[in-house]
Amino acid sequence: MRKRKAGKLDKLFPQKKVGLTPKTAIWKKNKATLWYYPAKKKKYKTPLFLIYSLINQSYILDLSPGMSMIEAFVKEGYDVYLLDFGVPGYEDKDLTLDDYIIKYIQKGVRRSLYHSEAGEITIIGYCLGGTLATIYGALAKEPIRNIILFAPPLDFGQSPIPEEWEVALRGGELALEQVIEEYGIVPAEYIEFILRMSVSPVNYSKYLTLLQRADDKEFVRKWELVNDWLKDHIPFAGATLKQLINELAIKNKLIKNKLQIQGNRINLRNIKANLLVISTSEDEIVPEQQIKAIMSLVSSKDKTYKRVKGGHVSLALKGDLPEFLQSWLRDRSNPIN
Amino acid sequence: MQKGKQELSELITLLGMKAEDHFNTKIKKQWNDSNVVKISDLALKRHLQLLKNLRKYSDVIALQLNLPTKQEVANIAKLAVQIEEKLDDLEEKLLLLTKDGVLENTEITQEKGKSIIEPIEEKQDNRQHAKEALRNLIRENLLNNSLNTNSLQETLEKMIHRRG
Repeated sequence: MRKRKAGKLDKLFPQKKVGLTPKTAIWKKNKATLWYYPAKKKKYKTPLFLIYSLINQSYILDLSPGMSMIEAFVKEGYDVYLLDFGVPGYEDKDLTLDDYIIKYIQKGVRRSLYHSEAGEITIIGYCLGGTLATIYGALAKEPIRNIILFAPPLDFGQSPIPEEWEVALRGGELALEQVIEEYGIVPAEYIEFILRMSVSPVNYSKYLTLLQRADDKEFVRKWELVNDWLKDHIPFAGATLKQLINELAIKNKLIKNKLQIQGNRINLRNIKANLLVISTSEDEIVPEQQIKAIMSLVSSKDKTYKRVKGGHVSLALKGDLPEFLQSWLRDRSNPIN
Repeated sequence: MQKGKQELSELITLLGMKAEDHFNTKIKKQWNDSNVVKISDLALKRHLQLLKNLRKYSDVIALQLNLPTKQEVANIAKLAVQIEEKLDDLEEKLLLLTKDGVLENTEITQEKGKSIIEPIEEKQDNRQHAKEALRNLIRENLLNNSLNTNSLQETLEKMIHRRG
């Protein structure tokens, strides 16, 4: 194949590199990859297992040096495992929530335990990944010591969907399910459109912020990285999307302890691991009401709810771990003697 | 001069954000209407019909041109994924066996057996018998595709104790 010469445009807009923290792929399955990020100087035996959302790409957790949560964990002395679900294709249209939990997350956790030779593990879920982590945490047989959830949508009784639309969805008055079935895999552009319409249909304020700080090169670089990621949605497996809409969003089965995964009822009381749930004050995508409900439903004796300043992804973009997270995790991870 | 520019820029941002909030609230209010929902449902149905027709025609064209359809290609990919899953399961079971040190233990026992100048025949027979039973169990379960990791672990533990 002929190699394209770098043109003037490439010099003006060089391709931005993301995910630069050293890593190794230790397990692959279908489109998914389990990445291992070794600690710079290992201080803790308990590794971290990161689950990201199914809507965006997971590289937001390792966007750029100094803007990477994974880099911050590695610097703190933790071994990190990241389950990257990859980009689903048409052949993955029948992948269900059950598959993601049992065939990917549970298997990924087992692989991480084999690989790390650790006796226990910490599960960290971001956004929809937090919902998946919660479901998995309730049925896990693996030794989970801690669960940390960043802005997980859990209680859909407090839905941000407009009332009339919610009524139509509950009553099956929208041909949404048939359209999803026909597509098989819902295109990334549609996912972006639905999210934008439900959160903020008009969104130009980010350009105003850019204009205000246009002379700050570092700010512009960071802004571009985040903006590119925001537009980098991935397609959604139809079967999982239908399950999320019907079982979680409409019937709110997770919070009511009625959700079934491969015939097993998900009872949140089964979560006994130390729990830290984090919400952010300016999160327009997942409001606090959708997150907080889990606190009274789990059996964990050690549970903490923390509300911090920032937007939906701002915590993942900080180069350092916030002090409360650092100390919470340090006190609940096995140190290396 | 510089200060004035900064103030102006801050003012533009503030006004812009307020206007954005205003537009979003208005749009969401307009959206939250049963008529809009009904129109959207009609549009979805029409879109669905269009998608169905397109698929039907592309299937006919693919048949005429002797080309595989999207669904047929997906089916092949699914088969590959199924094979990958089976291999993955096998790999995990092997990992479990090696992790528990069962295979290593067997080697150690064999080496120990060699170092003994006059091995007791009865002990050797027992060991052989246990190994045979274990092999049969794994084979049987693999053939029936019912090799459950928990039951395997339980059986292996029993075997180890019996051996000891």
